[in-house]
Amino acid sequence: MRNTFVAGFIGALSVVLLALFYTHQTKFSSNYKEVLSILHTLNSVEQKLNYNILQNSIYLYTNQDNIAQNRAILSQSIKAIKAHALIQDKNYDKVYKKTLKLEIETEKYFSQLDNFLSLNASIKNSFIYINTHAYNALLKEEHNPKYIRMAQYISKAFITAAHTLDTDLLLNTEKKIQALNNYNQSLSKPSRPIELFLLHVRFILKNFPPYIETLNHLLSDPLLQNTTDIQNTFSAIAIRDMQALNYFAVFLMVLFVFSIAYILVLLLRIHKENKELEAAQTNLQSSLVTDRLTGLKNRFSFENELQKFHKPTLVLLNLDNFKHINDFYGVSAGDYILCQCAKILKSITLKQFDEQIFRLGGDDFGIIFEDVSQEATFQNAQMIIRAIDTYDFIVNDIRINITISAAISNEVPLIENADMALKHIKTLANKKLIVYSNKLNLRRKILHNIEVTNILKEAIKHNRITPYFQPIFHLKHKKIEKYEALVRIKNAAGDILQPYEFLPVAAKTPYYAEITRIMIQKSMDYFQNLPYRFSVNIAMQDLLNTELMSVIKETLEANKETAKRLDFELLESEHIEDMELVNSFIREIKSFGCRISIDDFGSGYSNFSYLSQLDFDTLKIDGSLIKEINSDKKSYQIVKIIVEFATINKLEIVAEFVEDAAISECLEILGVTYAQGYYYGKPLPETL
Amino acid sequence: MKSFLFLSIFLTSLYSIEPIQPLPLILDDINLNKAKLGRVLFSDPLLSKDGTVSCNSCHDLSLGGADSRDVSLGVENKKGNVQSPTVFNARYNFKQFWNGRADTLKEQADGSLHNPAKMAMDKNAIEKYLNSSDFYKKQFKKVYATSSILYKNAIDAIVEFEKALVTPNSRFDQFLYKKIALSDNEHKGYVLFKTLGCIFCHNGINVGGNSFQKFGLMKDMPHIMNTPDRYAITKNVRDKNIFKVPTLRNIEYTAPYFHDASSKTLYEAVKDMSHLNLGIALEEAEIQELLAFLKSLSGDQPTILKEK
Repeated sequence: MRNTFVAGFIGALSVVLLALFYTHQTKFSSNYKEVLSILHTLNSVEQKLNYNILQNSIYLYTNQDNIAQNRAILSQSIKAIKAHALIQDKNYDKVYKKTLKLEIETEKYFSQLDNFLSLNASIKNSFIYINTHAYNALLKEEHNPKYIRMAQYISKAFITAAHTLDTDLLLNTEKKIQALNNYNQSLSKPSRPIELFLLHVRFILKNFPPYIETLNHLLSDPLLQNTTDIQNTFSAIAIRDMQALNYFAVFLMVLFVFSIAYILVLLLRIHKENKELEAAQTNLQSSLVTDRLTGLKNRFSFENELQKFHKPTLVLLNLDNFKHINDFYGVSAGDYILCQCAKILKSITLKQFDEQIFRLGGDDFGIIFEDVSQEATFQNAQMIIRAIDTYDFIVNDIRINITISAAISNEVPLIENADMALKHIKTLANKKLIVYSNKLNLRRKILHNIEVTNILKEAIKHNRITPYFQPIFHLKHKKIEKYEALVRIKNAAGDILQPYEFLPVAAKTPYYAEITRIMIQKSMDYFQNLPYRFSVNIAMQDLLNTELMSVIKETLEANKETAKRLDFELLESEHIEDMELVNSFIREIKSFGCRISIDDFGSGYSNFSYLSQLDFDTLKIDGSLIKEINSDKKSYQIVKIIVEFATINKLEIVAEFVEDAAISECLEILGVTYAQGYYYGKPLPETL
Repeated sequence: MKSFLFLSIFLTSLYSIEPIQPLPLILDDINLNKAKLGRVLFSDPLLSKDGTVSCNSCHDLSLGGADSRDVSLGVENKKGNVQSPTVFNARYNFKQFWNGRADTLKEQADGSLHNPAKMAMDKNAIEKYLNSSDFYKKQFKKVYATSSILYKNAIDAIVEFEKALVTPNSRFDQFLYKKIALSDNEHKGYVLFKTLGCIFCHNGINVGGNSFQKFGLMKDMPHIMNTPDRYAITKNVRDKNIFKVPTLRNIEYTAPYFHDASSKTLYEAVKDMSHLNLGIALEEAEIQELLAFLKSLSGDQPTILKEK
């Protein structure tokens, strides 16, 4: 920036200097020409004067005005040189001094000229007298012809001298002049014509030599040397000045060209930098709006792009079990699959509906279509699903197949609605594509979740989590030997909420573990001084919650006697990977004398696998089997097999949902240890 | 070069047959307003120290632009030392004053205004006087566009007027313009004028006034102290009694003649000049013929004098 400024300044300066220089040079050039012109006039007027003088000497009479004019011009020219601004400059002092010298010389010259003119007129006058008038006058008188011839001789000699301008020709006339004079004096009355003749002759004799001398001097051009000297001196100085000016001009031009070139270089550099900056900016912008992995637009850009659509329809796509892929094959495989999916999406959607493709999250893709019918979108989505489902992803020579689910939404908020719809179908088997609609009541479900979550939060805060106790009857001993603690919430209005109203929601919140803790705590407190065994429900996931487990262990530690009567009913909700960890907790719990029972046995999906892995004491047969035991043969046979299995493995069996005497009798016959259900007692806040 | 020179001589001899040139009939270089203002100044005696002498006092426009007195009288009746030459056609003289001490009319006017024996005024006094006059202030403002009158402008106006004092249309000029033929006497006089040698000095547009010549060429005249000759300027002995050759135009009206007014009539002047400077004795007929020629050199009154 500073460089640009400096270069600009130098450029501007050189332009200003060039302008000043140009003015100066123009002035100098004009001055130079003026002086040169005056010098030329000087020179030419000197030559003219020379010519005038010669002319004047040759002709008998001439108009002498031109001599007067030319001498005036000569004087004026000298004055003009002296007064000229250029010559007044001290550089030209030499010229000025030489001009002063010329002025002095000119004064001398003019004096000579005046003298010449004066002599010229008088000499001519005398010549013309002796040549014509004197002769006529003499002839009118009576004279000795000898003297007339003598006068004639003198006259001819003088005329010849006048024509040749040679004074030598006058030398031989002395004697004859003297003789003529003597003759005139000898006359009784001297002749007036002879007197006048002799007057003129003597005048010529006296003035002709200085006349010739003056003429020759004037014609020798006495000013020429001075004038030439002035001209040469002036030219030499002026040429030197001009050369200096030329050097300066070249310097200025170089400076100017250099600064222009430099500015150009700087401009090019700035241009280049700008381009780089622009590229960097574009890069930055695109990285803000682009997903780096797939090159698709990202979630951030989605919001912006969405604004540009008038009638948008969103297809939200989610890879099924993608987390499993990542866990199983590694993150790089996951990334590869995501990239491939992006490519597939791009290749399938052909921009026929101005669609835009986004990667909205980890394994979420979104496609916005503009102004498309529900059917067309549906077909498009189906096509995409088919394409991905049938595509063989090859990772490290391993073929992986991926399935994908999609939700279509054209109702605002698009992404939330689609997401709800997608989550909804993920819970449904065999459904891969859904169109969001208000009729799905998905929103109400969510509102319900939020409401329940709030109830849970409030209940925990205000200690309204309450255990209800349901008796468990020993069929052989014919008495109640155990109670199962079941969770209830007393709401703000004092109503009791059943578990089905809040537990499904609670299971997906952190409050679930808290509920478990409270149930254990409160049950232990309640049964501390009662002669029954008691059980609480615990999800298998809870066993993996180390924080909860340590709290439970503390509680058990604090009530060791009560702990010996505590049963944990394990609920299987999700598939457990790390069964060993679960077992290690079971061992710890059992070390306190607690027992473990498997809850809802017969309804889960991998029950038998647990049986081999888990160290448990009791099987609780799922109520759905028990209810049907007298009406459905298969249910009866399953229960019978479970009982036989338990007997062989010396496990206790508890049957749930025992609602009447018939069921109870049947169970007793089959050899079931305990029965639990309305037939023996509902869950109540107190023991019976 | 030489051939060129001779060719020029030849051509010149063809075209300048007559050594005398006629005056222009119309002057095209005169600023009339300036000249008219100059005319007023020319006749204003208040430009002199005692208010008695104007330019016109010694250069009487009604008397051929010259002075009929032997010597001019300046302020306080101071006598001058020379017979006043005519102001008419003075612009064609190569120098001004009898001894040519002024190169220009401007120098002449300046000199005469300051000369203690003439008008004896200085620059400041003249400016003071002119600026005290409403008439002049108005006139100068009109011509020079200055509210304050400057001496140099006054001189300029006078010079402009003098430049306009040209007397064209003399019979001889008409002859030169080939409008008329000269009378027999006039023509004989002109031929004598050329053949006797008068023409050697009296030539050019002003019939003189373009060179210096000695008074008493063929007969030495005594040199009188304080004679305003060339010697007074150059102090060169050779220049004693050397004067500017005077113009012969309007010569019949400018008596007396010569710097010392030694000839009272033109007849005498012709006779004296032939004797003193030509070294000849003229016959009566020749004198009459010369006089006839000389009188043919009288021109019209300058037109500027008729301007309103």
